[in-house]
Amino acid sequence: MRVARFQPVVIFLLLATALITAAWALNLRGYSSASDLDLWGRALLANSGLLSLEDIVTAYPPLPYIGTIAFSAIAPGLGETTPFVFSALLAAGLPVAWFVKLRGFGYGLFTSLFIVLVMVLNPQFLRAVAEGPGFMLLHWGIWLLALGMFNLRRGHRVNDIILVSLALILISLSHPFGMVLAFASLPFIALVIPPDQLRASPREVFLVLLFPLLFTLASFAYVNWVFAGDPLHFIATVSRETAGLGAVSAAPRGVPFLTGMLAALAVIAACPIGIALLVQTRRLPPISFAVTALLGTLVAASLLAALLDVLPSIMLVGGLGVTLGVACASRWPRNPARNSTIAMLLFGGMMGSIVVTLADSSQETGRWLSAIAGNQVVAPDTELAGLGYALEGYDGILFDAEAAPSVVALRGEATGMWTADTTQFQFAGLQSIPKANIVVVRGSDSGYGVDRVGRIFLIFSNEARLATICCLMGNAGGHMSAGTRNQNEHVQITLTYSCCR
Amino acid sequence: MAELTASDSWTGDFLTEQGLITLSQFDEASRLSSKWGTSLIDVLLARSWIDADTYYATLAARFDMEFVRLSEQAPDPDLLTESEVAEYMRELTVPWRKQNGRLVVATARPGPEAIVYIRGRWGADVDLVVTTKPDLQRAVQQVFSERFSHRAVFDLAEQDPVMSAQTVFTPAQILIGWAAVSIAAVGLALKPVATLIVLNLFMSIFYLGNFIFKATLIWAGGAHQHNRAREINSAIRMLRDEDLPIYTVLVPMFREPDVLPILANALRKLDYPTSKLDIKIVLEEGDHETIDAAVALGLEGIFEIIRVPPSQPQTKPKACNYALRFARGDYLVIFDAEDKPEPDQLKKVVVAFNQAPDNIACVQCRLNYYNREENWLTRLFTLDYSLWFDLTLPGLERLKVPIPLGGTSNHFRMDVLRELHAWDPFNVTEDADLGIRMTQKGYGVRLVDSTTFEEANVSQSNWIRQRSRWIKGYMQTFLVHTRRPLHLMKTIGPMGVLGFVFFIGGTMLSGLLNPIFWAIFAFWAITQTGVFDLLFPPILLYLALFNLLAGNGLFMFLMMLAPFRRNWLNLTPFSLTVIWYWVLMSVAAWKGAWQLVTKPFYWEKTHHGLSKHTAAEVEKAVQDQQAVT
Repeated sequence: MRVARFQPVVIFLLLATALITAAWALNLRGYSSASDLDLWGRALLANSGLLSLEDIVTAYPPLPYIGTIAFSAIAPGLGETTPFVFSALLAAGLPVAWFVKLRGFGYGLFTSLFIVLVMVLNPQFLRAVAEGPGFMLLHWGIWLLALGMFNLRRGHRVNDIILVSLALILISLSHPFGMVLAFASLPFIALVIPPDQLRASPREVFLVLLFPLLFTLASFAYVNWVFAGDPLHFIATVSRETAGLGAVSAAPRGVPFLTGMLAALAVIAACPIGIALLVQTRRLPPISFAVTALLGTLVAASLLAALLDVLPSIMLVGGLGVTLGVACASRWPRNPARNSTIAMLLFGGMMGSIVVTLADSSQETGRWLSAIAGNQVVAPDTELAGLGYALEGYDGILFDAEAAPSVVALRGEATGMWTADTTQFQFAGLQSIPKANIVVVRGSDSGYGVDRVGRIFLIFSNEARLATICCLMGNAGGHMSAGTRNQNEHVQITLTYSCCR
Repeated sequence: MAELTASDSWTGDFLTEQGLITLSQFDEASRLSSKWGTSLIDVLLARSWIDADTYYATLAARFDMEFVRLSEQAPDPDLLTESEVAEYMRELTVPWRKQNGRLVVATARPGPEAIVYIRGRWGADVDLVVTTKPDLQRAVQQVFSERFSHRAVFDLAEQDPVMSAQTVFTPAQILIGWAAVSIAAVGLALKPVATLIVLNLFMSIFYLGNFIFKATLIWAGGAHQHNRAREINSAIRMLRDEDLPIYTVLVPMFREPDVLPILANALRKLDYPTSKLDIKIVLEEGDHETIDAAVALGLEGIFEIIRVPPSQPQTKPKACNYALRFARGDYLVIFDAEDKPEPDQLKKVVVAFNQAPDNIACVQCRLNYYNREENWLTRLFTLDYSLWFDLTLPGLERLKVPIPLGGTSNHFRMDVLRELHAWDPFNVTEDADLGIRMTQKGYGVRLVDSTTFEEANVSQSNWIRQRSRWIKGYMQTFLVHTRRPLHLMKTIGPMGVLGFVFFIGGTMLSGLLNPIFWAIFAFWAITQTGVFDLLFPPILLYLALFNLLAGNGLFMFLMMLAPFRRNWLNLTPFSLTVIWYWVLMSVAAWKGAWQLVTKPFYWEKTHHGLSKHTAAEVEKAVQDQQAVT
């Protein structure tokens, strides 16, 4: 009994070690996901005091952001890998939760370990780990949602209501795609509400289930209103990198509906056990309705996100099916053939995931696969990377860093930057004279639009469109130009960014 | 139908022959006697089919024995022994006097069983006289009245003074409080902003801890909530009436004559052999209206009326302590006058005690309200109670945090109750205090899924009175049990201390602090002033804002969850109006704090019987009673 109590701890330690090692290995090959870079850049700015509290507490999604800032305070010195390590730790915890639940549902030690191992090694799960804490929190959210939904209809336990409500909050505040997921789940929640309660008090049951989510969103809007003067200010803080969508200049995403269908198929491919459980338990409404609701939520969210053009790569979306697969395995009816059936279905899911991995044409998945294969990979946005490297070692940089946090991450530090919340930036704005060593301004033709430096110094922004060279101001910087450091990157920098004299 | 005992059979025949009862009354009384599990004569007296004096006098004449009125010819106190009081009450037999060198024994149940008992207890060389049951009970009470009255008040204070709330603040507590105030004053004088920030930080951390703890409790309370109920329900079916122990039911009342029929009706409906029930209606000696009402209802036939002699403090725990001296059960439960326990509650508790480890000394049942739909307050009060008894207390039990017992329906093992010197008459939430004391003494409390329905307060002023007493009692309990912090830690463990601080301390402190923060927030929100900026540096501001939003949202959500277990979902939307309920709670908290200093032992009486439902319940109870008669 005493040994059994330590099993989860041992599993966590082993998995955390393995995943963190993998994170560092990938980082050595130049891999950091765009969302991790974005997150780390923001964390660097926040930790250096270059972002005001107002900017921190109004940013969306708040959980990975504040989580990363907190984690970097707990584990300083991890540098660029901080979000990755944080994500790895979140990822190591999830299989432990799976293991505990599987054991609770009567699976033997080795079967539970086997299931956990198969799922952790699933490429879609590993890709989610590499994507960053936001997506790992989504996996946690789906897991909690599944736990709650599977019990809600028959249990009448308040814990299941809490699980569903908590999961919806977690999902909504972890990732922009999560907001779509929470919205998509609404019609499916009706399937898992106990029928007597749904008949007698439908409004009241929905009120209880959705109150935490609605109150949280209203609170977040209120915080935005208090700190930024606009309840919807957070919408402006969402970047495509955060959303796992890649740069705006990435390859065309195709017909939205078809892309959505593809993502939905990726979910099914990763979770054939869900379909099988649906068939197996067709006469057990508490289970079959819950599977329908969970699969329906993921499929509907894929379609909705595609229509709204906020669909992350199909590998990431489909990966949520891995977590759902474990939840389905845990609720598989007990029978003599359970272990072999589960093994077969999970193996099928693994095959499906491999197919999805190969079919995913997104740039981020391509970089990840390349790094996994042992290749050195370039940064997700080479222009920003070039700018980051070019700014290394300089001081007095007037830069709207919040608009391109990955530059800060790639530069490695936020020190020396005059960001929008600094006195120097505001002083420069008041005087309309940039007394900085370097002014970094986003070109007006950039897909991201003009940044705050560009709005203050409109002339720079217009020039940047035409600029062909990154210029340095002042004596200190005059000796060296970005171009001399890396000619190739310099040429690319000027596409969207320019440093002007 | 179970057969009558030899005594009852003989008595029935005799009374019918004498024409004192009719044959149909005899048949009906036999049926009820079997149904209630009580003696034939108790039924006849309860139904007023025979006058008590006539019955006892006739019986005495039949046995050729003297009939005495113990109210006029009291027993010799020297012949009565304190340790045998429970036995006197059970056997309805006492040594009366010595006449001509022979002991004379008075009995209120003449018959073969009594004679066997008397011979076994005092030998064959005794004379017998007959008396009435109420006279006998009253006479015994009077003999021990003074002694028991003193003990009811001072037993705990004399035997275990550190556990008594008789001393409100100990010198050490006054010293620590004074030192804290002095430090704060010096800080405010020298570094006012820094001091206020530190105070603000402490309060914010307290709020954060408080709501995280409460959320954890609810989570823990919700898990496995049905398992034990299933076990107990199946075990009840295995119980045999003859194996059931004697159960004492104490019903302390004060100026509540109107609700007596509800009580009588509810107690009669208990699924427990009446012969094994020792029901005591505990009344203040000066409360003539309730005493008269109880006598008029014929309750003395079945229930024993304990008259508590006047003394200060005049509190419910003192009355219960007094009545406890006459209790003869193995277990004891307290019900309020307007309580309607579920009929199988006592059996469930017996099973729970049988299944529990030896250290379980108390079983707490759930409380809720039958008039929940009456008005806004009763709805919110029902949500509050559902949260407390259905989710929070199970959470405390699961996390092994001491459980503050709730007002009624707490069932005790008699031996432990006596060992602990029962309730603290100086504590106005004596039940909560006893729960904590029990845990400190190594005993545990278990919860059982059986509900007692009560009358929810329908009036806000009455509610504030009741709640202010509860909060004052929580303050007393907190002060008593934090007198020896190390001892507390040693006896209930770190988790217990944490739970005690947040649960008992948190409940009262949040009520006191809330108005301060609400006022600051309202002033800031309306005026957008910057005067508080200094007190809320960025991190603290975020923490305070988080507490405000997450805390309020969480508590509203918990209120919404409260009625789920009972499927009373129509109450759910009222959770959104809970803010006014919290305002009332803060008013009660400040009133309680003020009374702690000015009138610590004053018992704010809650007026019962104000509800329309209670009136309907009384009417129904009277009809039920008439239907039986």
